[in-house]
Amino acid sequence: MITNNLSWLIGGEAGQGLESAGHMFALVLNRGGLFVITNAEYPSLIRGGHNYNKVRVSDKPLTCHTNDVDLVCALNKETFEKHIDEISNGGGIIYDSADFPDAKGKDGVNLFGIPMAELAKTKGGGIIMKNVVAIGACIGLLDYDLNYFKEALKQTFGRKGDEIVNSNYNAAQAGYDYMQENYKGKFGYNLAAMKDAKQRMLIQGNDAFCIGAIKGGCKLVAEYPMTPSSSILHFMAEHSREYNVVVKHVEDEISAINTIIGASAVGIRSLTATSGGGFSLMVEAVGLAGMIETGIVIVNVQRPGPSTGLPTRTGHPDLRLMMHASQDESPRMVVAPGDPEECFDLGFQAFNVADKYQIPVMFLSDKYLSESERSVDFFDTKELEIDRGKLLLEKDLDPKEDRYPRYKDSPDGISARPLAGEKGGIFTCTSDEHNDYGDIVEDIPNRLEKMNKRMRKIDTLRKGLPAPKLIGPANADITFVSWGSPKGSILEAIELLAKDDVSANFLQIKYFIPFHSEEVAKILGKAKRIVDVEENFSGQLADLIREKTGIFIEERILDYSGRPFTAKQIYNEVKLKTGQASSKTVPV
Amino acid sequence: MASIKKASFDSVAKPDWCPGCGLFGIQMAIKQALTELGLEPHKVFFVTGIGCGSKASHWVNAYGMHTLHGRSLPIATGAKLGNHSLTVIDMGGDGDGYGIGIGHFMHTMRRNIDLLYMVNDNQIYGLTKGQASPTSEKGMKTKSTPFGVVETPINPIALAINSGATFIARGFAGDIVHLKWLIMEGIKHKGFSLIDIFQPCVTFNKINTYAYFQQRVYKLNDDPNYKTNDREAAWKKAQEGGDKLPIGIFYQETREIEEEAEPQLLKQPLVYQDIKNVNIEPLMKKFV
Repeated sequence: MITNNLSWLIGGEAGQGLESAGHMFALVLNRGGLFVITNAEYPSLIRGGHNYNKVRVSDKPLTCHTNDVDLVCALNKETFEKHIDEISNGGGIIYDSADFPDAKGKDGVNLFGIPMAELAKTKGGGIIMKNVVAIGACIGLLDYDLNYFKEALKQTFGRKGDEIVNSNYNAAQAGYDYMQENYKGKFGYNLAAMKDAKQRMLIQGNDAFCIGAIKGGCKLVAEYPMTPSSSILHFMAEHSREYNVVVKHVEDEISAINTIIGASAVGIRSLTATSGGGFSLMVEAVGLAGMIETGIVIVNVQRPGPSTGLPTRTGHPDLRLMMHASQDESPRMVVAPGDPEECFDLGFQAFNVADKYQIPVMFLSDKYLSESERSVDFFDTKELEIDRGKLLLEKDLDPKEDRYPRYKDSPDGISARPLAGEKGGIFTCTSDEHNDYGDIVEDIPNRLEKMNKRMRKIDTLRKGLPAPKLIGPANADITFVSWGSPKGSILEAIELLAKDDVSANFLQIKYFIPFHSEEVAKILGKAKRIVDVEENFSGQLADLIREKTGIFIEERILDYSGRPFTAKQIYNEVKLKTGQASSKTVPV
Repeated sequence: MASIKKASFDSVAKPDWCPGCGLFGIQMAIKQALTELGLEPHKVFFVTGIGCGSKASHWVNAYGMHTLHGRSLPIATGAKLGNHSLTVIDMGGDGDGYGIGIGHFMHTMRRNIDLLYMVNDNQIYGLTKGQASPTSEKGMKTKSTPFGVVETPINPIALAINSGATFIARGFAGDIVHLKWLIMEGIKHKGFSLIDIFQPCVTFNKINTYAYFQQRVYKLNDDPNYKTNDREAAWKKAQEGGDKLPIGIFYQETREIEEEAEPQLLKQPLVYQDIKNVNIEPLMKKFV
């Protein structure tokens, strides 16, 4: 019997309640103290199509999803047909026996037919509860505690009244009972809640970021919806009154970024979020924020392009876009988290950096990280402090002065900034090149001084950031280099390689501007075999590393399929190349 | 007419507009209006787009923001939401507001945020040296339309009426006293105020000159029978053109402003709210 180590999939068409079923199944396991991680794949449509949600569960911390499936829960025939071949030896499939009166499986896969639709109609509140019957059935087959599910149903449907709650209970119980009565002891996997289960959040990257943003003092969000960033708009809007944040769904992305620039210019911390296409519309204003030295936070939850591309899939195609967007060169920070904890920490940090260094901060997430739910400990907020930098209030200003030299040069490049509305602080900010007071000035000494001053802030910022460090053993056979959400799959691939006595470590790059050239060169200079892992076509980080350090990483595992890396995929790629003369890896 | 007090809104730097430009009159009207309203320079936030007139934020002594072509309205909106205790005024040209920025123009009007938007409407692109603008008359020959403009011009007043602006007016740069009055009314108005301003461009527009306007403009509000709360009457007036060009307040109504619709802003402006002690425990607990 395999206890507490399972990969589960629920599939069906859009509109069958897959997302809520997947979420609820993950939630009931999370509440039992188990570690879960979810992954959803779906096309860009509202009804129909083939969709699935995966939940991987373990009693040990998990860092990534897997493509292996031990138990499939098929809400339609298509799911059965599409996934039967993926099921591991000894695994099983739960399906509606009415769909397949004479279902044929394959060797080593257990078939668990159950009249799902009929039970939903006769025992529950109708066909709409088929997904509830299905989850009840999964819990019954896995011998898990149904009460966790009932509790979740009560929380979800409680406001709709007892009748709805009870019919959901009945649907869940019917699924559970059917499996217990017909298949008890016939499946080699089970799940058991941990004793003294620790309370953890089950949280997505976008939500983790939003909590960091709220903690970071974000007071205004202007956004135009775009998958997969819209959940940031939704989260912030939902909690806007609780936390006194103004959230505006504005007319387009151009308006979104300019609105937050206006807000930041009068001294508030503000945010916009989008995906690559929406960011492309914002590009001009990035330069404005850099020129007038106004800090804003821009989130790009990446998806594959070009153009509309794969709207609901994942990837890391926009690193270079974010680094170079807008004419000429202007200061900015480009940062990418690798997991929900980093979404929170770097999300909080983004607002401090924007405010203190008076620069736009580009926060690069991706669809997988943004939507995948994970068991995460409560965020530690003890060390988090708001730093507003050189912000001047009336007490810091001379009220007799008509104007303030707001763009005066300084050794660190950061000028003191009066809060608009304070006496003695008047200045003009302008997208034109300007002098200390913000007057338009085109003379050469001033141009050079101001350009140098703005760009110098990046060096100052670099000194304030933690340098990248290797995760894993020093002097390893393989050094992985990557950024963003592949982090989790790489960490698990390192464990898989260790079982084969191949040692590997991992250099995660979180900051691209500023870039820690010296530290990266030092680490990679000592590496025996460097493998770059990226979800884009060319290996944008690898090329950046070459540009900044001169180190050419030839071996690149690049996946631009729109689906997230799995640990096994990375492991297999590395094993394939082991012992071979190094050559540029063919994109997988 | 009230006597003009010493204008503390005078800037250190001086305008670089062409001699005789209508913008001088507009700039003077703005400074006089701000002064007569008794506003303090540090409580005024003056946002402008890009264009000849948009340089005005450098030449009025107040917190100023000279931004991007067509984007001043979202920026002014953000500034007002960030600190609604500031008097936010915004100015751009006809290319800025009715061309590249027309989407923001319409949406800002329906939002009814409490700010004044002035459009120096010279029916030509000045700073790029003489191309047709969205308000250039049909047939007008310019550098970009050597055979004459073929499009029908934008009617900003009618557009504003349709888009839900709550204060809609037109001024003339050649009548500073009247324009100053409009600006004062526009600032006092609670909600979005539009003042479209006929502004002669002495360099590039040889048709819509001072003389052209002086012969045609008449004051709408001199007519005691004209009611500014009548949308239909305003719409009809907005259609007038050719030899008779009405200036004054076309339409005004009271409607809930954005700042009142957001309870987050009721207690105090966002900028003065504490951000150092935000408790996220309740948020985290929602995910358990």
